[in-house]
Amino acid sequence: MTLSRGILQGSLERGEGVTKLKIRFFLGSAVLAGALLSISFAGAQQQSAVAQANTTYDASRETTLAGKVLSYTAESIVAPIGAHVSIQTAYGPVDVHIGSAKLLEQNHFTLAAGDSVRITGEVMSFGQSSIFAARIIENGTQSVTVRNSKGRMLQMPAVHVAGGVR
Amino acid sequence: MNRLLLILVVAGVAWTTSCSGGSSVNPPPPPATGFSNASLKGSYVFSMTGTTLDNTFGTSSFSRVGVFIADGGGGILATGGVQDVQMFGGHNNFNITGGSYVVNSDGRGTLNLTDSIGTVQYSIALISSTGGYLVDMITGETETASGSFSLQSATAMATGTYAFDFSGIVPDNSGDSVSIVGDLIPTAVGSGTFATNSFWDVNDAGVLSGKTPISGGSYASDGSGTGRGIANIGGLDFVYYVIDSQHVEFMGIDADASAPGTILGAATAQLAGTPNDVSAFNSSSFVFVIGGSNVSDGGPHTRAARLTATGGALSAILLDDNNEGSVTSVPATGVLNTGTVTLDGDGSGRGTFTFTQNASNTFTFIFYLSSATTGVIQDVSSVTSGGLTTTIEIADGTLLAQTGAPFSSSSLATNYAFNWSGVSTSQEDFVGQFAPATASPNGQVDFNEFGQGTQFVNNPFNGVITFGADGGTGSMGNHNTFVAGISGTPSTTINYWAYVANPSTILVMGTQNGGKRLIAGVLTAQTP
Repeated sequence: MTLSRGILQGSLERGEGVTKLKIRFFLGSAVLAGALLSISFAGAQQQSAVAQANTTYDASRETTLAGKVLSYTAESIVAPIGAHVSIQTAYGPVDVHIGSAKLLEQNHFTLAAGDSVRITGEVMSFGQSSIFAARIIENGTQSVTVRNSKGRMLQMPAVHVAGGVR
Repeated sequence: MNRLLLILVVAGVAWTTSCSGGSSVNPPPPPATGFSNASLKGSYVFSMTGTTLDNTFGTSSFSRVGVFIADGGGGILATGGVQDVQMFGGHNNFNITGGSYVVNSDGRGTLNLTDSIGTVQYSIALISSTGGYLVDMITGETETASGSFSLQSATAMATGTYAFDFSGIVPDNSGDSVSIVGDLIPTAVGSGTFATNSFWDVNDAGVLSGKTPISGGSYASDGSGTGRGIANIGGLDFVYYVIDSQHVEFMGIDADASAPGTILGAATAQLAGTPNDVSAFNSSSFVFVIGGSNVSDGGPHTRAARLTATGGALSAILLDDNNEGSVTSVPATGVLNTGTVTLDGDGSGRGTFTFTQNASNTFTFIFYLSSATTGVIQDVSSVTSGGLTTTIEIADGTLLAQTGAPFSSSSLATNYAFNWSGVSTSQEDFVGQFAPATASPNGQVDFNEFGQGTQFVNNPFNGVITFGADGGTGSMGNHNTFVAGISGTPSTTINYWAYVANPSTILVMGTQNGGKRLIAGVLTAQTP
């Protein structure tokens, strides 16, 4: 659906959101670098990553990664389960948890090795390790939102049963 | 011409679900069932819910409700029509400034509604001159939706006790699925407040409210004469459209930019004779189909069931479950003969069905009746594991009494209109018509597979209903089946269990096991 049809009122909100997103990116870059370095290397640095990661999602801490896709796994058996994408960033390779491959499929959104992507999200702790949890993924002109601002994974549409005609 | 071009464009497109590479088949001429453009005349309240895609913001569930005025000759009046749209977390109201429609002799056709933004194309199937089903077939967009339209005969909300069912995404920026059933009691005609003995049961992402008084609430006509008004129910804001003295459509209009969603539902005023005590149940059989999503990962989930209530006891219980492509029947063979039914006895029409499969699985459904034969129903079933009890799904639907049994091929109506909505790779919606006793193909179908160029029209269709050995009631655990064969391009076969409420109304639930398609809907007898 084109934007103009549905969100005449909502478009301003979204415009503001984009600006805020860019501001957050610059402010968060320094912190992100440290956190991502910790994610990228196993071993002793893993504890450091956990120390810097968050247990709950907070959109005010969001940052944006930019890089090329190294690999995409629709159904990873590495926790947290679900879709993962590994991207090569300026800080090194980063494993990003996307969540639902079905949601990407539903959005006609694809990821392939070599794609240049931007991923907005934040580093979160998961057990004894940490992961970059994606909220918005951009691939060229395509964009898909996979989490809401509270970090909850967005869902496939539910089945709606026709109520019938009176 | 545009529809022909569309067919040509989509030819050869691979359908990502279980389609075979169909050969090109000329659609059969529609059976003459007596419909024409004159069948659609007057003001019709419409409502629909579906999914739309924006390349920047991704997908969003959305809803539309409104009124269009058909002139009986293929035109939509340029004044007097109006619609409300909840999309991407925002609400907008548009005047309908024109449009057109075609109703073929089989009751199928097209409807184009124009507002200041543009024109949306719909495929329709009339049940009678008082209403029908529609599917959003907008061209050049990735969007689909299913809904219905009903002839409007009143524009002021009447007093009474209304059973209602709302479902969708809760507007709290969480993105959580929600199901709300309850009873609303308007205290005055047109505008007023809801009485304090209005109640609701909310299933918010698996968290159950239980029966809760609706705190506050009001409704007011907007004075436009269209039946449109604004209501606040328990702190949620809605736009509503009055259909008649018994039926009102509601759509949530609260902003929810972070996790855009929508709530849509309907309310039906209780008729005299609505049971208030279980003593009213005397071998009273019911069927229902519900749809929604599961709690564990938000995947689609459907259930269908039949049961018989006598006093406070349930028997002849059969339930089918499709949880993300895992299809099971409860029990696996035969029926369960132990369960309970309750009615609160406070005039709300509220009651419960409860039965147990085993120590881990308890099935509980909350219903609100609007008559002895109709109501709304919500699943609050749970599973217990490791001492922890969790709700299984957020789902609801329509509860119907099973009347007119036994059923057989000879008891079927001559023609049925149908509407199914489901999830395959993404949302999909079907609308069509068929004549069961006619040779194959016995109808036609239009459907939308949620993609640009994936709107398919006039595909030949063959629907076959086969009844179980227990008179088609399911009371001995035998399933009725409905095989929906779609030929042309693309082609596919969808297998359903069919739960017969009566020969005019058959509820269907998809049974594709291990596949991607979860789907449910209804077949309704046509009366031109």
